[in-house]
Amino acid sequence: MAATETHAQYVMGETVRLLDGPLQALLHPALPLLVAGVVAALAPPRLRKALLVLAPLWGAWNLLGFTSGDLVSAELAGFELILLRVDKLAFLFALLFHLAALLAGIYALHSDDRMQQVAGLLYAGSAVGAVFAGDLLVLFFFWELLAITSVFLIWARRETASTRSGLRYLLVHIASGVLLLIGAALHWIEFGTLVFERMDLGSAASWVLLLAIGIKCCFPLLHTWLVDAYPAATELGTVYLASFTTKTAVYALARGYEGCEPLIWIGMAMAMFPIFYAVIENDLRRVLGYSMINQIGFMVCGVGLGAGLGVNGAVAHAFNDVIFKGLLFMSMGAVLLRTGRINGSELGGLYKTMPQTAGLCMVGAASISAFPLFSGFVSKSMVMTEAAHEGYVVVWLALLFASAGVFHHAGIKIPFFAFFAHDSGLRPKEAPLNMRVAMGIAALLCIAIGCFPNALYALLPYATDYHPYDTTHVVQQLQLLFFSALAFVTLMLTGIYPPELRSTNLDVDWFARRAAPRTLRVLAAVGGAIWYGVLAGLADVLKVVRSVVRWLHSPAGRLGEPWPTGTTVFWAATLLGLLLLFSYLGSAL
Amino acid sequence: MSADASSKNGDRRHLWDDPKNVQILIWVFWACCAIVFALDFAFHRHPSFEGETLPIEEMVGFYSIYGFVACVLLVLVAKQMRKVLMRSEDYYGEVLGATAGEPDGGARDEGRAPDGESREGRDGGD
Amino acid sequence: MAAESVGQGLQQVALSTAFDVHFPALEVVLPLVAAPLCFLFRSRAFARILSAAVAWLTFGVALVLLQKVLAEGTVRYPLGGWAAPYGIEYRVTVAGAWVILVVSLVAALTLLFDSRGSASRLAPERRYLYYSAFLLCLAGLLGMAITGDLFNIFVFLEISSLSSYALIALGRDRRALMASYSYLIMGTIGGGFFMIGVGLLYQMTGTLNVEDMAQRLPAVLDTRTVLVGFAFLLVGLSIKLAVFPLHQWLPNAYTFAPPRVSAFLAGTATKVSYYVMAEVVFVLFGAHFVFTEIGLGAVLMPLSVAAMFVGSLAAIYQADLRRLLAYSSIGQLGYMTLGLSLANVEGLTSGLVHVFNHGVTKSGLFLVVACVGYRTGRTTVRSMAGLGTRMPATSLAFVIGGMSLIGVPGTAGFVSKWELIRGALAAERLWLAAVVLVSSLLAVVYVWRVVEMIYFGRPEGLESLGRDGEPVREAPFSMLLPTLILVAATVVFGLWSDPTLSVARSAAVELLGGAGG
Repeated sequence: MAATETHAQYVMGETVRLLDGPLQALLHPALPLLVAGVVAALAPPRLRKALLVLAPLWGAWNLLGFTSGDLVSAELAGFELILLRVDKLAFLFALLFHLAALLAGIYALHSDDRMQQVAGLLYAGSAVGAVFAGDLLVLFFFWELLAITSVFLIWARRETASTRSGLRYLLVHIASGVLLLIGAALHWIEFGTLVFERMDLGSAASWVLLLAIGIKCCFPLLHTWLVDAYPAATELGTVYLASFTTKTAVYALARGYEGCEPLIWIGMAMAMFPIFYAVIENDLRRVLGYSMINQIGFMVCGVGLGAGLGVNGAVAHAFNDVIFKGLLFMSMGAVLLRTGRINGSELGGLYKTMPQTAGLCMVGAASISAFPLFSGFVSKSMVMTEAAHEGYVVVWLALLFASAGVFHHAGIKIPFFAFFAHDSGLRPKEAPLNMRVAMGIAALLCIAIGCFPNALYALLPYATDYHPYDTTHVVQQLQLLFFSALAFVTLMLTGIYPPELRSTNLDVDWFARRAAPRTLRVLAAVGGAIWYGVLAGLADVLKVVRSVVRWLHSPAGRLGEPWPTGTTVFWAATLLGLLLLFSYLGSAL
Repeated sequence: MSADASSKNGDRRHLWDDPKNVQILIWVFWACCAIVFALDFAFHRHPSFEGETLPIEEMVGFYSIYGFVACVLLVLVAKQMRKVLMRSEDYYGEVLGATAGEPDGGARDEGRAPDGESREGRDGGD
Repeated sequence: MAAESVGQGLQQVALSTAFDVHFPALEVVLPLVAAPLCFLFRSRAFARILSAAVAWLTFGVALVLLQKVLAEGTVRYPLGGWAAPYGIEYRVTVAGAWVILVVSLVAALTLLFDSRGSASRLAPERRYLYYSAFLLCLAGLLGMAITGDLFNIFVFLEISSLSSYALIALGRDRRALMASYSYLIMGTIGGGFFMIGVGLLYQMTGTLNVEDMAQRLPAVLDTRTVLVGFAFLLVGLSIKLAVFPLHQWLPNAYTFAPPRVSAFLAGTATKVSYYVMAEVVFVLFGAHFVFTEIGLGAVLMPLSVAAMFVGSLAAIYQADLRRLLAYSSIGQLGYMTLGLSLANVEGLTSGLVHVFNHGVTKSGLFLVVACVGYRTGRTTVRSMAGLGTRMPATSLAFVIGGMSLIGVPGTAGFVSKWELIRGALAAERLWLAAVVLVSSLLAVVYVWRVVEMIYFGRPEGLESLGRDGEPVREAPFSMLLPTLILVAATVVFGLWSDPTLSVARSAAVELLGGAGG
């Protein structure tokens, strides 16, 4: 698993070009979006809408002025902070984030909600800042900014349930940030530097940082914030949310833990377990949330497989995932906007009045399922191929299983239950034009990348001559997908397929939301009982102390009694005696 | 059965309202499956793994069978999981959409049948 | 004394820059002379304006002195021209200048506070007596920190103590008399112990000048007389400093004194005693003798920790706001003595910087309570119910001051606590750092009780009516201004801690590098 060439060498090698001279005319890549966000906070609605579209374009234009090796640092309180470090990995993610911000911006045009528009722009800017952060302190800053800005997209729904969900989301992400800060401090202590580079698992810092990133990355058991919060956001908020937070985490993972073997197994677990939940989940956006964890699993796996095809696959899949998952979330958002409902049990038959949305949704579904000629195919297969190449049989089989599962729940279930299935009787209007435009662009990109993957491959951090379209591969993939679909059809026709039911399915956040409060209550009761038991038992011994304490706690009424002064005098005498004793002993020695 | 609902609503019949169309689609799908399966005989495939790591992969129809079995397994296991994991919607005391206002676009006003009627057809699969 | 020259001196201030050699004397003489003037003129308005003016003047002089000391080192001023070991010498060290700066600042701001209505037992036409006593107390406190003569310290200690007994007895509540009486007894015992200690040391060394004595002491350090003298000095000071378990005079005194007196004494009296104790320990006897040979740390450290917990725990249960703050003071003094008992630069720095930070915070909080008392007519925790909307500025001031007591980053209290934790780590006592953190949690509890009452409490029945049955409104500007200045200072010097920390650090270095040992 030796990583032959790391980004560290790439960046810190001879190609470092310190930014000065004419290049200073360029803004820090995060600034266009952040500035636009601040301006939007004060701007009238029309200007806000213009900013939503123009800011990502301006930002992307600004971004194109940078090349790998650019470095900007500043000194703050004795720390050398690397505000900007450009290499291919960061560049690709930044480009992706601008693209995502543009799509979401177009998608947001029908809305006048200042809170969401401002939060969305700032959120995208924070993500760009995070991928260009050269050291852990700057990363921490943007990491927390990501959390703080994004939570408003959840709160913007202005419902009790989403407010509480947002609070939980914020709590988790602030915790992740604090862990990152602790990790940074440990890193400083252990290595004397804050530069964020590839590290080997082993040092305390590396484990703490992995945990911090793992929370944002939805590692198993740490994943519940995603499926809790994303369905709680507004139709627009979820589109933003799906693009930035987890992808920033994938970036951080690729930067710091490339080729760490445990990630392969973590990624495998992430690809596997959510698909079961996705099958029985009713809220279609939560289904997409589970499917998102599953997709991130492929990326984590790719990062774990290491330099070359593994990381390339992970990064390329992150790129595609933002587009096709964004497309799916957009289509579900349109459904939510038009019908006010999102549960599979309440939807169906929408193709009749929302045919364009349905069609675009199916393009996204085909992409996520990795149909040949769609974008998912060209990136997911890289990870699979690398897993096979490195000889991980179990992992490969699990990923194959997950691929079939993805098609099953994201590829078929989402469009089927929303747009077809039984007729819900709902006859909503077609999605607003701006939404259809955003979805249309995303769908075009899905197909374009699927048909001409080389443009994407050229942006990847490692040189590659990977060719996804060989006959064997295409045939195998088609067989897998068609027979997955066959299973669905068969189970549906025989009525074995579980119906969509209004329900809550327990996930590990049950421990935090149910078990922990109850356990705490029991513990508090038990602890209280023990505590009082101990107190009662020690009452005799502690009589003197307790009388002092009781006197301290008593209200003012005792003033008339002379004994408080007497006690103080007694203590003065005692202290004097004690000091004399000490002095005597000290001098006697 | 959804046809009933829509005809009650008085709007035009859509493509999949006709069971015949659905039947045609299913037949086309089965044909596709058969063709894709048959492709295994037409091509010489090169295996993903080198050497003898996973010989079963080279079996005819491996991917087809794996995909089918995986999905059936997935659904059956998930169905069992419901017995353990499923709770009422307001288990945590908070339900999304509970305090939501009217949806944008006025879907309810424009064409939606009264609740009771439209729900009758819910259990059928198209 | 140089009393006659003051009249001329005041004129010269504007004319001659060379006059500043007299500043150490001026600092004490100003309030000392103004006090009888207040008495002579028998006018409340005159007394009020004079005392405020004098307090601001002493603050100005203190600022100049501090700058001078920082620039030129210790400033010496032989009173009446008698050279050091024979005459009384005023000796301004960095630490001393730092303490008088805090004292004069708090005095100036509390005197700026417009204490209307309730204030004291005195009939309005005799209110000038109050200012007289206040100025005497100020003079005594400043003198303790300036003089370099042990007996002179005692004299100033008694001046400040006697006037503070009188001030406390002026509180409107009848219980103020008992509180004052109790403080009188404890204070007299403390002063007496201090005097006995000075006498014993004088007997062995034949000098009263601190520096001179510090040079002569090593020769006789192993005699029992010196040891006994040391013990008396220390216990005497501990009473004035309210070291646990000698703290019990403090809550009543602060609770029943007139509001401004509470604010003034809480910010100054114990702080000056702290300075004197530091001088006795580090300059007179030297850290080596005190901590290595006698092992004072083994006594003082547990007592400090106990004070931190007992003070904070007791504060949690108090129903009266001023009593709550008084108990919190006992806990905070525990942090200061803990810093001293660590006997390293960081520890002592934390103690000295806390002199300023806690002085400003606690005085500000007492003034907040004075505002609340003026509007609601009560000073119980319940009386804060719902004030968040009716007295927003006052409420916010309490929240900020409370955060400083807890030691929330960004407030002054954090600066001291952080330094204290550094001190504990430098002394390789990790558990102490942990104890400091845990005790801070107790502060969270007692501050939260009040904050909860302010913002979530609902006044019941007649509670919604203020003093004299009027609805409760925001405090008047003349009360709010000094309060907000003090509270703002906790934030300003919490964020911008360089000036306070650097002065405290150089004071600590100076004390630790002192003579003896």
